[in-house]
Amino acid sequence: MNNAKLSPGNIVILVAGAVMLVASFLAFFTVETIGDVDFDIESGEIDFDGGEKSFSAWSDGGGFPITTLPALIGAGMAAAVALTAFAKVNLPERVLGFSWNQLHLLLGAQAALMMLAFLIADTPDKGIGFWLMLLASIGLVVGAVLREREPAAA
Amino acid sequence: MRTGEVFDFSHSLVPLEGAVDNKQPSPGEWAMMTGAAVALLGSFLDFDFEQSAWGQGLFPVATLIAIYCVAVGVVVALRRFAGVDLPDRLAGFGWNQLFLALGVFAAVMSLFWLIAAEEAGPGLFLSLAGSVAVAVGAFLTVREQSPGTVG
Repeated sequence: MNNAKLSPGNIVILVAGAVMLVASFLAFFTVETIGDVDFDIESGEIDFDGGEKSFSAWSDGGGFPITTLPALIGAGMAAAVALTAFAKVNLPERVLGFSWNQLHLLLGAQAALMMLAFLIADTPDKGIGFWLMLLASIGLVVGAVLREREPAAA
Repeated sequence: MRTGEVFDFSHSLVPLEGAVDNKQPSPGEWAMMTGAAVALLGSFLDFDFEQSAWGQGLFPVATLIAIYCVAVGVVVALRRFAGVDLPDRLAGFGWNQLFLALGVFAAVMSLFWLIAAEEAGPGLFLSLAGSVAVAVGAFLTVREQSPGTVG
């Protein structure tokens, strides 16, 4: 393990990416459902046992894969940091002319923008997974900015 | 482009020597501007669930595609036609880098929407075509303006 490469910025990205991925499996949207229906023949009463159905970012009805994209971005950023820091993989200095600091900044901003867009969007009630993903996406941007400001960041 | 050749996208839109006064847009710039117009048009058409990208439930997530593409198209047009003197770099990024990033993000989002959509309409297909054109145009622009530059 190369501790020198685990700068504060990298740690923030690692944690935020992990949170993002885990949160993507929690409830992204929740919707009220009718639930169980009890029909009393004698009285003729119908009783709806209201329930709640949740969709993760990976659920078919939850907007997969557009809701999954921020999580994939976060996981990718964390993976790049982990590969460099723990597996000692030597990634190319630049990808398509972008430095890694620039890539992290762009990807983090994209994930955060998408989550902010979901926040504004008129969608069903947001679940705990959504809120965690929103926080984690902001964490990705913070981590990327920290990396940018670190001297000779990996 | 030779195999293994690396382009440096960090350069801004600095015209090549001898092309300083050339006001005619390059093929890459045409692709970006046309792609932006197509994506904008597509955003007003049926995107998914018979809603446009500006419709309830889709705005502003689906609208990001058009916003990214239009931002690229407007900046390219301002620089090329209006001669607006913008700074060489924005937040540490060259314009070509930003064009490429926005084009690729828009294209990826369009592709993901296409998979997610249950009733994909013509607006979504136009958004996909437009965003791919913006991304390809950005690549072409880099190749035109920084040929063979090693990053």
